[in-house]
Amino acid sequence: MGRYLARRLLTLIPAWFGVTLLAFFFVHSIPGGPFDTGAVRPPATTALLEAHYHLNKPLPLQYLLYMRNVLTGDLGASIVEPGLRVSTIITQRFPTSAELGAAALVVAFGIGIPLGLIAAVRRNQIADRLVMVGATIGYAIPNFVLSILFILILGLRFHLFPLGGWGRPSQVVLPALALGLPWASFIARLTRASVIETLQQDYVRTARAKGAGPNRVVVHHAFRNALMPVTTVSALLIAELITGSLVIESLFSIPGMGQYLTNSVLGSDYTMTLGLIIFYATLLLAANVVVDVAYLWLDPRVRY
Amino acid sequence: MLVVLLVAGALAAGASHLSAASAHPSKGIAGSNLRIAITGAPDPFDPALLGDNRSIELAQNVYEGVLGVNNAAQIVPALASTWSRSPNGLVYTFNLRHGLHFDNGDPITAQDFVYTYNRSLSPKTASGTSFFLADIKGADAVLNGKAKTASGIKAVGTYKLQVTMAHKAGYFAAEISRWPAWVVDSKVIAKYGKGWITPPHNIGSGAYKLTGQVGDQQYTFTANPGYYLGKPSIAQVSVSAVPDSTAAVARYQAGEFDAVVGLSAAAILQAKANPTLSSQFHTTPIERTVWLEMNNTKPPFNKLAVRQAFNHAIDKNAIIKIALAGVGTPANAWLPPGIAGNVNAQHSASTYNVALARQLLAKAGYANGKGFPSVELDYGINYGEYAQVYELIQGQLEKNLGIKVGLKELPINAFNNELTSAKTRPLLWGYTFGFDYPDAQELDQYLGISGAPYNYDGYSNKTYDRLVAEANAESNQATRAKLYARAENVRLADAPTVPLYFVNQNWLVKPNVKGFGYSPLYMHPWRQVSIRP
Repeated sequence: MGRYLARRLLTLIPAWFGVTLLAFFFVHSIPGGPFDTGAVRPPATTALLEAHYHLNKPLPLQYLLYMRNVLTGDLGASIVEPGLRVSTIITQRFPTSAELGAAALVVAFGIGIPLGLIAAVRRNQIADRLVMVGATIGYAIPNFVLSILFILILGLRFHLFPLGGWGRPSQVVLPALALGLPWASFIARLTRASVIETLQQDYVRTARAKGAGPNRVVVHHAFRNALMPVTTVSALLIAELITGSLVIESLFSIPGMGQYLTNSVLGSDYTMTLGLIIFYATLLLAANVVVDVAYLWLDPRVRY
Repeated sequence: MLVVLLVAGALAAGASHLSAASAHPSKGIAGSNLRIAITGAPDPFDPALLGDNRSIELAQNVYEGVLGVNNAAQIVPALASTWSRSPNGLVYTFNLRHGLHFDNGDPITAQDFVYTYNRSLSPKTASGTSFFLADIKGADAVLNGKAKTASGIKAVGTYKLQVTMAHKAGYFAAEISRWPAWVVDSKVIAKYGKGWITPPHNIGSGAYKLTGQVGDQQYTFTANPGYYLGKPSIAQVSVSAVPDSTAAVARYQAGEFDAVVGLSAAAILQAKANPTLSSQFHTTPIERTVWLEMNNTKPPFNKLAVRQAFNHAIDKNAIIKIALAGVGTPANAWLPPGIAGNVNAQHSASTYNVALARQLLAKAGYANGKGFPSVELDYGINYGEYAQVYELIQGQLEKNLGIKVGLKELPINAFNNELTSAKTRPLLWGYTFGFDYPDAQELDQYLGISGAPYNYDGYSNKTYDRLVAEANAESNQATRAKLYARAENVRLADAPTVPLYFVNQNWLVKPNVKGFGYSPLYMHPWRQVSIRP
């Protein structure tokens, strides 16, 4: 296990450098530089600014200069909003995206898994049908449509929740539901299929034959194994949810990172875009390792 | 380091609820808190590094310079009580008010301005607007890193600041009234380094102090009781960045904001359709022109008759009515009304004349659009309205002149980058300019004259260049206005562009808020605003 983990972590290093390299060259190949904003200034001023940010040097050298700072722990400052540190944006905005993502994750798993379980156990009965119809609708409605419906009905019509903003618990409810419900539908379908399949396995039949009651069979014998596909998906889901939803953040005026990353790309804010991508990449690589380790716990057959 | 950030992020996640809750805009005693929604995050609050008007109209409450701009966009004394220019136009003397203080109690002296100007010029500061001070004697050496201080900036005693110019610049008073010249406290910057711009370290000299900041979305400003013009009426101003204007309007209706500024066309229509909102809706012209630019150096636009035909084929009133929700002024000149030297009033009759346009196009050899090359019109995604504006123009050119125009929408930086090279520059494109300081020099010098850095249309006329140069150097403001007006008329006769409209600023404000509004440049300073409880 220890050796496996060490090996797994070692493979992350080239992956991480690969990400930085690709990101750097992609970001610099976006047409239009950070000073092409339309703001007027004499060419001499533009030249001074470019020199200040090393933009007048060859790209490979720029990459090395940039990585030297990153490796010494400095993601630098925004070029477009000078004075704004990338680390400031991460510490100020990532928690918001992460909170929203975590709340949406609770919605996705908290609603999706129990409903999927109920549907599997009550297969082809009325509860199953209701859950599946609900899940199909939930999965089919895009989250921005859900957002607008929530804003109009629950916010503007019935004043149950604030229309936007961030900071109070009541402001988390609507965006978390909008972001989490389509995924809850997906998880419910996945859990149902997986539990149904597991319930047909030999060892489950054995458990039944040994006299285990229906609840005990589902909870103790089938459920943990049935969670395998859900776990596999969860890595992707965590990545999807915590990286922030541009649309949801924008509709609910949530100061998250999704919106910021998009704006920085559009504004050719090289340092900001790169810093945020490197931060996300690090996070996602780490999430993958965590999921791999989770397999060990879930499936005793997995050996490394 | 990344691990540190991850941990810091996790810690901040726990703490953010507290700080965010205490800074929430709906908190505070009614009447003492003005809550404003703006369209996006402002720049960090370092005067040397500010760039867009959205940031400047906030920062002007926190910082001030020797001169300022009043609500009529005129240059007026601010931290200087009086100022004068030597007869040769080269030496400016500013007499500071006595007893001025930064918010932290540090006295403000002429030496602080010397520090501020040199700091803005320093390449280490990397200010994008250092050129506002570049006409000062010795500024070049500082800009290029060859000197620490410009010889033309001198403190003569505690309260007298003397600025000597490298050459005559009649627009300098306007330039020095702007943000790179807003005084900053050298002691605070020395003590906190780059961190000085965020509260609680942020120190200015204005009527308000930036006291709270949550991310870059929520700002709290507190009245400065020691302000030299007296304590402002409103104790606290909360500013929230809400990029979606219609969402901001919904929250305004729900009572979360007292004012929403920078309304999109969609939000304006939403406001106009609602009787309560329409009575709280306000609009006023600002100093920004939007125009259609033609590549004067390439056929078919190298022909005057073609350019004139385009000028007469576009119905500007229809554009304003349909694409801009009815707010805006048709532009028949380049310089907007309010900028000295503008001649729009002389050309106020509608230029829309399809018969004349067709006649001119025929004269150029393209009767009914026959033989006219395929033309692409590019524009940047700047404001939501641009797509509608240029689609209307596309339709009008086809209907009125029989000319087919293709549209290409680009991200704003990619669009500007395309224009910088003659190779990639299209034949037609949409362009806009908003004034940083209220002086015709800025538009004419940087976009108008031959070889100007943003003269992408290739327009060149020696008479125009000469008149602009004369106006730039002239000290007498009335004479300058006349010279810019003459230059503008020379330019309009050559029809290098199609002026489309002058932009309006649009906002909603609750009826109990008095004094809130917009000058042709910025939001009114908050010290002029009061709230009836």
